[in-house]
Amino acid sequence: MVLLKVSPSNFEILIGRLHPLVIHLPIGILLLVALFEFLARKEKYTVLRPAIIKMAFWGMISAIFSCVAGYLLSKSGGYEKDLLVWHKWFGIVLAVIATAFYIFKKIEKEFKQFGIVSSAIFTIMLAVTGHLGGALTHGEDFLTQPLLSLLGSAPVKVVRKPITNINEALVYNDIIKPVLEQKCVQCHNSQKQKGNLRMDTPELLLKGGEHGKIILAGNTNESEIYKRLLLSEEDEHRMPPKGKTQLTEQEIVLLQWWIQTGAAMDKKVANLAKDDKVKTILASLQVGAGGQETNEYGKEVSEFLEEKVPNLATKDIESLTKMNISVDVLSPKNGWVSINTVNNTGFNDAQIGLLLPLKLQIVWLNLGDSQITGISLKTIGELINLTRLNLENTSVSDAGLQNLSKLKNLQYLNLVNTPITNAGLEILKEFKSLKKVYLWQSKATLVGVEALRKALPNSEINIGEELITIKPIESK
Amino acid sequence: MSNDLQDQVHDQMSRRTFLTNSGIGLGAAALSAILPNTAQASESNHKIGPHFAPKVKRVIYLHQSGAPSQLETFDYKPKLEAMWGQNLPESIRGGQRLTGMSAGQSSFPLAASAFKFAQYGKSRAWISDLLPYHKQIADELCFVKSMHTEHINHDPAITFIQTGNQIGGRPSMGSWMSYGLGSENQNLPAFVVLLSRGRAGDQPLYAKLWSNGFIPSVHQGVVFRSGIDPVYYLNNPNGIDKSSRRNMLSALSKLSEDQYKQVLDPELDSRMKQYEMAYRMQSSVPETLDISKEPDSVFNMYGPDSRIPGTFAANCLLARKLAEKDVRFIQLYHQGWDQHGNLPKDIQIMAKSVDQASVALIKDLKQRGLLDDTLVVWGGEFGRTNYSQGKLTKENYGRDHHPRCFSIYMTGGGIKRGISYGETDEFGYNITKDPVHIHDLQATIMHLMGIDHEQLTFKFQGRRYRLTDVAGKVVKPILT
Repeated sequence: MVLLKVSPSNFEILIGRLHPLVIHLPIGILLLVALFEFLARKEKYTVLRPAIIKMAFWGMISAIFSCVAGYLLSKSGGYEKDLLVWHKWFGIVLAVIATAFYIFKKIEKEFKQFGIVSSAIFTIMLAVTGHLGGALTHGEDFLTQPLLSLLGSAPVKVVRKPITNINEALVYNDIIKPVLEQKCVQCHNSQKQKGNLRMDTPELLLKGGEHGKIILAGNTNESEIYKRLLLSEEDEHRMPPKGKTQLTEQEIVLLQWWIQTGAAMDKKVANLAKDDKVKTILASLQVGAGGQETNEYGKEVSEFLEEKVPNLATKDIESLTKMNISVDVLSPKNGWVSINTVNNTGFNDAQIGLLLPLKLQIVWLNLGDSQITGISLKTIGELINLTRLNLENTSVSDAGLQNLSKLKNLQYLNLVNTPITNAGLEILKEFKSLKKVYLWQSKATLVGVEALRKALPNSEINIGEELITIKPIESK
Repeated sequence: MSNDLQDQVHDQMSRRTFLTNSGIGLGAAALSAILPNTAQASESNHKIGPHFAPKVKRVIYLHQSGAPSQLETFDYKPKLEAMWGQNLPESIRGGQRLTGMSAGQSSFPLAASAFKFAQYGKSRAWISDLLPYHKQIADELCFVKSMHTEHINHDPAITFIQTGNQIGGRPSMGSWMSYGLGSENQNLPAFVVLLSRGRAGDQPLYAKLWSNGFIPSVHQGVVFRSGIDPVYYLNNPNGIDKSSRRNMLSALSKLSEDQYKQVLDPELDSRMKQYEMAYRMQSSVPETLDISKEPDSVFNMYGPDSRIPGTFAANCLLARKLAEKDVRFIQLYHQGWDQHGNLPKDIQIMAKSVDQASVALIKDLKQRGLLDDTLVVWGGEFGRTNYSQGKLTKENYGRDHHPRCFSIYMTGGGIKRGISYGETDEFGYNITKDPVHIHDLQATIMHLMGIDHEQLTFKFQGRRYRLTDVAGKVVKPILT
């Protein structure tokens, strides 16, 4: 008996679910009817007339079937009520018009302009009904949102502030909510409430749906939301259903962590206990540091600014690689670039201008062993994001160094085997960002170096290394 | 850029060749002109990394083949002095698999180091009298005392540390770097290997250790030999001058290109690149390896051995020169650390051959400003047992292979200097804190070079392979 009772409703569900498929038949057929009707007014196309009646028949049948299927589908619930009412009645009226059209054709009771007027009416009806149906499935702003953006008048899409310090981030607002918004809210919102569940506000999320609560704080394994995430993709209870965008493994881990630690709406990341796996995933959410993650020992210090610079133009790269200058992208995320003239020791002051188009991107510049002189330092001073500069074995002079004072991020300066003297070191005293300076085999003296060390107490000034020779120990 | 052989062949087939050769017409030809020319783009600088900003640009790996004893060098265990001669407690050994060389022993007498330890530098690093020069750079080094590996014999263990797998056939670490980062220097290989010997009767080394495995053979390690002919068959034979060599190569390259279009074998492409590289190396190698212009002060720093080609000291000097030329991965192997017996005497010969030169290399890199963008790694393939292999006397003992713990050190850019990471128990047998697996070390080296070890893969025989296989965790606490 149970079987008898259940099977019709399953049959109903099946028919209902055919609605999104068959709905395209009346749309296509009736549009063609309208087109033929329009064309057949011309002498040349009168041959089409007999086809119109055949097509009108099938348009009627498919429209009626769509109505029935749509009604059955609407019984499964979860659709926004106002929209649904409008869609339903437009659909029914459309089917009625299609039927009337066929009957009038069949009995050949046509008044003047009948064909063209009625086909114009159902074309408009098709557009309206179709749109309402689309709004039901995809949400009301499905079309309008991109359309308005295109016209430039869309309400500015909320751009989430990137997480700069993961420990200060709010677990729900900054981590969980974005996931739900992307992957769940589409079907569980104020307009569409599949399973009578809304997930667009914290209160409603905790309230649950037709089967009760979906989140049991501290008990992830019994929480409906989590159980459904883990079901096989073939399972009808699986969420998000097959075909929709799925949560990533990391997102599931984060959700599990959030529920397990109490599903709090106001806690910060720092306040919740986390294991290694969660820590790793959390670290990856933090922007910047060129993809380097944080660890419990503190953040790996990134040498470069976290901002993103524009991508390089191919022609600028080519003009350098043609000269055998190697251009290496150091951080694909930020666009930082390293330039090295190791393959072109003839590189000189005349060519230094080639670097200018890349003046924002270059962070490491190695001109060691090249032919440049102090003149080039003027151009190098324009490369404002430089952090490491190799000038060893060149003839750069004291006078040019002043040009480098604009390099506010310069941390490493290699002046090994250059004619730099104590006068140059006087200039370097103002370079507060410097962390390492190499002066071995330069003309600077110990006195100058000591003065520089005093002026830059946090930087390491190297003037060469000494190895104390030791007599080897005798074997015992 | 595709990192997948089949995909590459497929790309060649589907875009360029198909569109231009199948004669669809002018439109198709125009289309092919705007599509990237894969063959050309990969000509000089194959590159799929870095994945994020690197800390260093190159690695110098000073591999101590044969496995130096951690108990005589950096891992000080006073308990072994107190329990000298007593049997290794079974509770400590915990059923550890032993090699056939000591498994049959009736007892496992604990052997203390024959060399005195003391703490040096601000970091108070433990260093034994065996390596006196290292005391001078105690604050420059990051010791990892909790390295562990999976095999107890040389061949699988050294293959493991080089390729991430105990069985040969996978690409070596240097090949992965070449594949992932390309080379800044167009005239030298990205991966250079230098070999040296410490004493007679060493464990052998094999070319599979620097093999490219299944990734294109342009990425294999190139061995530079000592002496007047550093690379075999590099120089032109008598009667062939530079221009006729050039003509021959250009003609050959045209022929190869034609054949490449027909058979699409990427190895043809590799071979053409290697010929071109060899041609450029004809002048770059003699120039780079020429140490005759180095001043005496440099030879004094690296020690008297540095004047003798083929020694570890001479290779350290060459390593510095290659680093100056931005070679991506410089792999040194020094043979002879396998002290199963007669350890106190033999290990001194070995220590003497590496101590001064290793330290000189680090100091030399530092004063030239190279240590900030170079990573130096010093270590063997496993550790040695805390018990004596063979008879234990006050003067003499030996040590068998031990995979459960050993010590290495690192220094350079991005590494915390003057620290010691990881701890072993008081017997120096098991790790008690912060273990570092070989895959972790490999992941960390890659991380410093700007490579995510999980992302750098190569598809071969239906599976994507990587250096760290399916494991490896970056050892973050030792990074700056």
